[in-house]
Amino acid sequence: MMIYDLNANPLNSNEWAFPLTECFHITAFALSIGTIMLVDLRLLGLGMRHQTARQLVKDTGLWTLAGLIIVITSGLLIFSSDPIHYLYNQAFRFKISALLLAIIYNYTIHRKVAMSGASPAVGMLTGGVSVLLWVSIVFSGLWIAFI
Amino acid sequence: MSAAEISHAIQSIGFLTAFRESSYVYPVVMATHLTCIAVFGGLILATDLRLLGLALTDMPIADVVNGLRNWKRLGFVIMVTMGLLLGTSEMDKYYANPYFQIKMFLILMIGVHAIIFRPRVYNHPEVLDRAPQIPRVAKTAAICSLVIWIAIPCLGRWIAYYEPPKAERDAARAAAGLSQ
Repeated sequence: MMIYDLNANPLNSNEWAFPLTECFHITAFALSIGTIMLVDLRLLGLGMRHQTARQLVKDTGLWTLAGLIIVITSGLLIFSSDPIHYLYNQAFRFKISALLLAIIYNYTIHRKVAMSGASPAVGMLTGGVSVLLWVSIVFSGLWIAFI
Repeated sequence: MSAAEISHAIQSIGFLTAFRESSYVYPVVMATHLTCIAVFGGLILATDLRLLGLALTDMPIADVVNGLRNWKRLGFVIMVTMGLLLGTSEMDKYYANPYFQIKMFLILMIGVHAIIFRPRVYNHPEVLDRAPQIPRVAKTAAICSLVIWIAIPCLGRWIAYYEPPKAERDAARAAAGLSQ
């Protein structure tokens, strides 16, 4: 049986590799979550009121997607540095569940509401749920290091 | 007083000691600091990309700059407040950390960036919209902002990986009157 040798992973053997990967992770989540927040602020009626949510989704979509691809790729690399540790970490499990939920939500309900010009009440609910989901992912991501 | 003694005195202030030793408040504050990067740092990136003509190009620059300004201000205040707590409560560890020092320098550069570019770019975004092309000064402001704002969280990460030379560490602890 092949045994995965953690020390052979450059993230564990190269002094710069791990923090550099974390930098990509942080910058990319700022990009993806920040562009989603732009839409959420509009849905909540709290900012960008000269634009429609539809226009904001169309104008930020590519950047959100680019951010998500980089954040997930760097996240998988970080995960590979110590898979067992992460798999048994409750904060990590919560984070991954919330992340999957948030991605599905973002490309279904969130997108549909933003594109359709729904009523302010529906918009507020949709934007509020989005903010809570993404904030909880960042929070639980940090919590991994504390439990 | 030496830097080591001053640092030790700061982090020994009662509520900072309590904060450092708390098992829940400390990580909550750190997580809030990080969340601000995601939520409000992302808005800064979006503004910079608009100034570079790379994102949100269907809407006027003025709408992006003015529409997000108050949110970025609020985020900055929360981020700095949390950062002050995190930094001062571990002053012993941080004051001689070169990555911490560079980070503080870059935070100062945010102020310099504002002094230089606010009157020319951010205070009159409607002028940028009237120009046939996005003026070079706006693009320069955006690139400087991107460099500063991406470097700051990266240095924040690097702070955690710095190991001072043992001799230096012992000298600092001795100077602060701590046991070896």
